[in-house]
Amino acid sequence: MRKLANIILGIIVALLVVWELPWLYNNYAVSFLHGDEIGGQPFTLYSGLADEFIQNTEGQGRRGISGREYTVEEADSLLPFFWTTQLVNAGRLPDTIRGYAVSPQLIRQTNINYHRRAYDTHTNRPNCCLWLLLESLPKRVNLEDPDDAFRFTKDGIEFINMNTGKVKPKKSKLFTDALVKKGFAFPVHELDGNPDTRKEYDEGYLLIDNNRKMYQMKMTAGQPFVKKIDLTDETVVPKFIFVTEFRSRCLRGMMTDENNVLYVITPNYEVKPLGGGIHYDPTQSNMMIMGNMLDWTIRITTEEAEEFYAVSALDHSLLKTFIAPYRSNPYLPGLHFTETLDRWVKPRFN
Amino acid sequence: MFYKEWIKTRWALLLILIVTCGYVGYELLNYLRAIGAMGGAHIWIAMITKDEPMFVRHLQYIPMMAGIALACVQFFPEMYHKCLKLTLHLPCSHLRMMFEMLGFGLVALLVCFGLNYLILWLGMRPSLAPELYGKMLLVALPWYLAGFAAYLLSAWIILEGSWSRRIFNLVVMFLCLKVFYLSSFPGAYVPFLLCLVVFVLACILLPWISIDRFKKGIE
Repeated sequence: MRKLANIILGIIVALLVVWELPWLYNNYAVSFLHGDEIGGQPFTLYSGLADEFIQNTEGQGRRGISGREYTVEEADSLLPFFWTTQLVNAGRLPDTIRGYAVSPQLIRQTNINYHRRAYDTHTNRPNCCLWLLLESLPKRVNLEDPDDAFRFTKDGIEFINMNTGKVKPKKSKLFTDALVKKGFAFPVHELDGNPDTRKEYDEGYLLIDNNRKMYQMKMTAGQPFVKKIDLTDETVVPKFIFVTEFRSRCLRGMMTDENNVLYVITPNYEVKPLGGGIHYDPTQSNMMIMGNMLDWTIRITTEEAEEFYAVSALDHSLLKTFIAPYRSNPYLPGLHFTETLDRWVKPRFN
Repeated sequence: MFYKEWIKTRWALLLILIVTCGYVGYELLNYLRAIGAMGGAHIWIAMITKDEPMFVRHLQYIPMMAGIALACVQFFPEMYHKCLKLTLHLPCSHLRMMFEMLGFGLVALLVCFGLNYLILWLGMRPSLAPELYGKMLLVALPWYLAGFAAYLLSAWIILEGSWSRRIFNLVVMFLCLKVFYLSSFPGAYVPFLLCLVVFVLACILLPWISIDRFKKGIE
């Protein structure tokens, strides 16, 4: 028994060493020893006027990916949708940009700032499996919190009164029937929605059903609104779906397929590959979109590189690509229990 | 052996029971007050949209402290009054006696923690969906497992005769318990719970190392 107890202690100590020592080295020694090798790309945005990505450099400088240096004033003028307030203050905001009439209000209305982290993906985090559906056509101007929550069961949708905890049979049947009528196959495979009442409008939930077909479900004047989203290419199998709810209403949402190709869902429910087929794995990568009425800069952070794509906001075609691989990986492998990509606590060796 | 342990720890156990149940009651009162002030719907929305251990947050270190306290009450007298020496002279299997002592402590903690869970479940069940109170009970589970681990590891430290080894054991205990507190995201530990249970069970054998060294007279 003594031998077994000592073996157990040995295993525990060994695990603690491969957990703590790499952690100490990676957190404290790496920044001293390899300070210049770590850290990602500086802030990078695509300029449609210069037709290149422009980065902030140390101090006040700006530099194009082509190597060209810009003064701060030049960079402000080349990125007028981002530095709008600065240009307005200096009286340098033009009336038209690339032939399109602009105003500070229009720029504010059409700018996009969208972040999606890997841990936002449902498979990368625990879910309580209750969701909130807002009234998308509220009587007052602002969106209001609902008084019920819903859950998907294996053969329907259930609304539960949040004050009493009782299921609302009438509303549940109404929404289940509306989904079934449109061909929805229960149980739901994937869904996404944003129940934040501070947003400007509500697109409800985007759903992928058990047959991997996409739907939009929202509540309009208390009634269910269900719309099937058809794919022109039947070979595409949706995997993840995201509601975007941009202020400009330029998209219904986005989706990725089994091959991690990123698509946009347009306001008239067309599904188009973004940038001709940008790859984005929502379980392994973080995505940031900063866009304006003419072009979007998409940054996808993978394990190997930071990928920047410039995409036309008008037809979603690819304009420019910049892939910045990480210079080296100075981190020691070891035992970890948590990751930045997900919310699970479990042992993993990397 | 069970009776001897009961005599030794009954008042401490009562205190641990009162304190842990008191904290659970305090959390429940907070929860009921919030429902009364803001309405059930508001609480549901907060629990659905926020990934926080709402209404069990203050319980975080209570089970761990209960485990350490019970181990102190149970094993300090054994070492301080040299009772362990007498116990080891009894004509019984030493291993069996150790398991009986630890078994008593584990059962006592199980009853205490089980009661905590029962109070939480009974308090939250009437006004919350199973998904929501399940989320709260799940977030507290690693903390309660930490209570059992803290008890066994504390026993391992207290029964150790040598101070240098005690310090080593203390470092191991601190790092082991850290694993139970890496995230308070509700449900984050679900894939890891089984491993934690196995770890706690494995810890039952560690005090045997200290007893074995004590028998050899290592101090």
